[in-house]
Amino acid sequence: MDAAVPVLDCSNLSKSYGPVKALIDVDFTLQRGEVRALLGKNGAGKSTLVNLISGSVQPDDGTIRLSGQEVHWDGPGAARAGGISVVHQEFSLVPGLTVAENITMGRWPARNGFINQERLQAEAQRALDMLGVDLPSWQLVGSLPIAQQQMVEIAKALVDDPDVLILDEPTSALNATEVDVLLALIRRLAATGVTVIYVSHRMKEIPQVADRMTIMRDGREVATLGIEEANPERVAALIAGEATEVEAATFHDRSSAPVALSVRSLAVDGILNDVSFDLHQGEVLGIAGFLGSGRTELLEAIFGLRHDVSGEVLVGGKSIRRRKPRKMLAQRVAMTSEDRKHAGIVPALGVGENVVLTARGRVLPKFWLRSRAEARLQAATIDQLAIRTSSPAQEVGTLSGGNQQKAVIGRALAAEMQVLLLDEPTRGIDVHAKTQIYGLIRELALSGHSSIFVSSELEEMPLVCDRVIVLRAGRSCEVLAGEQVSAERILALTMKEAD
Amino acid sequence: MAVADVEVLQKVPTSPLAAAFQRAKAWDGIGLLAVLVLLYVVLSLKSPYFLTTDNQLSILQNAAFFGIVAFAMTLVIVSGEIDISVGSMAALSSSMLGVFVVNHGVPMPVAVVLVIAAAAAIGAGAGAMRAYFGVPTFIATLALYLALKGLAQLLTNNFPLPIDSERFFYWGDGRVLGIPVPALYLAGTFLVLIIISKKTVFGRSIYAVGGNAKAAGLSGINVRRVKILVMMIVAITAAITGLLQTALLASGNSTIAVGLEFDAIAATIIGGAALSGGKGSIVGTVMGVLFIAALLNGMVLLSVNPYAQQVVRGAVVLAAVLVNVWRTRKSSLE
Repeated sequence: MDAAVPVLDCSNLSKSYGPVKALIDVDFTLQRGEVRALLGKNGAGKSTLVNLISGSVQPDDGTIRLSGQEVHWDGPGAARAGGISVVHQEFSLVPGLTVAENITMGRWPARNGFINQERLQAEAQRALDMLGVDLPSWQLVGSLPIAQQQMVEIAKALVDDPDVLILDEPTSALNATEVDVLLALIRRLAATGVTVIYVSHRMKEIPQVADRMTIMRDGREVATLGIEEANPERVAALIAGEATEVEAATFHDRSSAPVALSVRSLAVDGILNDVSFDLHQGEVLGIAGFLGSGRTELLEAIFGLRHDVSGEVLVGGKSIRRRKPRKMLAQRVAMTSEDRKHAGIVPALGVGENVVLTARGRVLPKFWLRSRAEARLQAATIDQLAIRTSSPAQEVGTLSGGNQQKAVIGRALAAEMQVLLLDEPTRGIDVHAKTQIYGLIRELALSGHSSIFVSSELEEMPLVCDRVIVLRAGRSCEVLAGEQVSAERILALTMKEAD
Repeated sequence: MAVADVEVLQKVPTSPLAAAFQRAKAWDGIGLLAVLVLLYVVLSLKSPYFLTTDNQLSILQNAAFFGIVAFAMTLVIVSGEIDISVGSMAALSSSMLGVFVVNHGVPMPVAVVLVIAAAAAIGAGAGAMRAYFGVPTFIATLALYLALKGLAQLLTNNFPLPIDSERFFYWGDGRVLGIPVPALYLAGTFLVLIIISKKTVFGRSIYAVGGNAKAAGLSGINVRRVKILVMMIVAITAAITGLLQTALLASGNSTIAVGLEFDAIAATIIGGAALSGGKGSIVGTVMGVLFIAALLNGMVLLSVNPYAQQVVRGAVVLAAVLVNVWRTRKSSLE
């Protein structure tokens, strides 16, 4: 094969979703056997690029060439057959089938409907050999540890002899040793001529595995660097872009205010490691860190949603043992889940009904409904948060994401909660609604509420937080306060190598 | 093409024997087998008659009347669906056979084929409701549970239709080499369904669909076809069960097979299948079937109060589910 012809050559790729330009005029060229890291924050266009290359989405404009031939995929199946395989972040394995059956799923060799086990095993084994791992091919996938399941997932992608293998955050579920094994394995694959696109946030891994990196921002390719020219500061600056002019919120140094909630040496085996901090009254404390750094788990540990936690949580100076959500609510500590649809709202109930769920039995009587008191509380909360709804009876599931999120926060406020644990409160809502949520959190801080604000969108941190704790691999590493809080700075810290 | 000869690292040779041993160690059914053996020991100590050949054969004969359906039910439950209409389907089959043969003089073999074809069509219909319109099979078969039962009573006016055919009775009550014919049907169904579940593309697809329907569909498995086929198969086994009972009772009867769905689902659950789908095996269900049949037989031998027997049956199912849940939780923590 001609070495000069790039295996994948995308030129002028563009894609819009309605008014949103997800990808603008992107060129992306890969040589055979190259490992290319793809970086960028959420919404930078990484996924759109990956979806275009892998056929899940069709480009509005531009061309994709595979080994010099122009291709038009009409779906992921066509791209797969054409030589492009993707390993998605979520597993697509069937726990009740064996390793071999999973690897070859959908293309089981058969005659007259009967599976040819020998050929099935041989095909699966060939994929495992390509990967260079030894897995018991007869074992049920459900009984394997996550790291090995990840290997099965990659082997499944290798069955079709792909020219290009796309790995989307392949290490987010793995521990350090497992990551090393996986990275070595990717290098070995590349040495055999497979081209790998490696989507990851983890700055530490990229020099170990990638030859070059492409950085995306706002739908454009902003830089493609050789791995030797990339240092974390430069990369962070490229990912974050120019510092956006922030409408300076008035921040307050609350370190002299009484402590509302303290966390002492909180640990969850393999996830959180000795995390301690104080949250003061009227303070907004940001928790920054990449996926898998333990952000959500930290909130769950505080709120009593996990039972494998060691360490101490104090509310108002009093240690709370055997934490459960009901117990924490009694201490006026509330949590809003990042999964708004499934763990936040009750979609078929009215906005008002949603708002008073926690208040019942706390602010409102426990057994009998007092309709006038309820109506007053519902109306007051809807009004306070400016939830846009035709009436308190409108089903909350029919509202926009931003208004749903307000209803979730409103539920905590109606029940007179003092400490709010907010997990990704701005996920999946539009820019305008985000601004409103930021404003709301700041306003609550002024009225004495304390919040812990978790977000994967680092540029939100300076808009909302008085202080930010950077979490890396389950450890609280740095604390930034006031002026120091900037998206670039946080990004550089989250990507820094673990000490 | 690009990937031809790869240096294989970390290769550990394992003999087939070692693999088989590891497999046995990891086998889920080992606990159930132990419980089954324990039940046999206790019952044979309590009643000298329990272990006699006659009694064991009678256990097998009785096991057939829900076991045949239980094997097919296992496939349904593994695919993530359920069928609670099997009892009514059996009653309807019996009634239809009576009406065809007695009222219309249809020759027996033709009538049998007609009945099985009708059952297959109804089962496929329930599967199609699920596959194409998203009607949960619990709801679709709940409706069928009532409708088919009513239809059976409508056809026969709720009176048994006596059938006079010595050759037909042989199916329900006869023996081959001393083994009751229904027990042979049980064994036959077991063989056919275990081969389907382990050796065919369709069989493995059932596990894939029940375990992760989305992944199965994306991998090119025809999810709808799998769902329709499993519902059809269980309906066919329900019809066969109805026919066997008809032969035993020598009449087309709309009141038979009451509670068939309970025993069939119970045997499947005791056998280790998960109602959430993706997990379960025909071998496990065999043990579930034998467990229920031996327990029922033993309670009769020990003249346990019939009402108390029902309490025991319910308690056994509850215990089986608890054990399954507990085991799943344990393995997910590991």
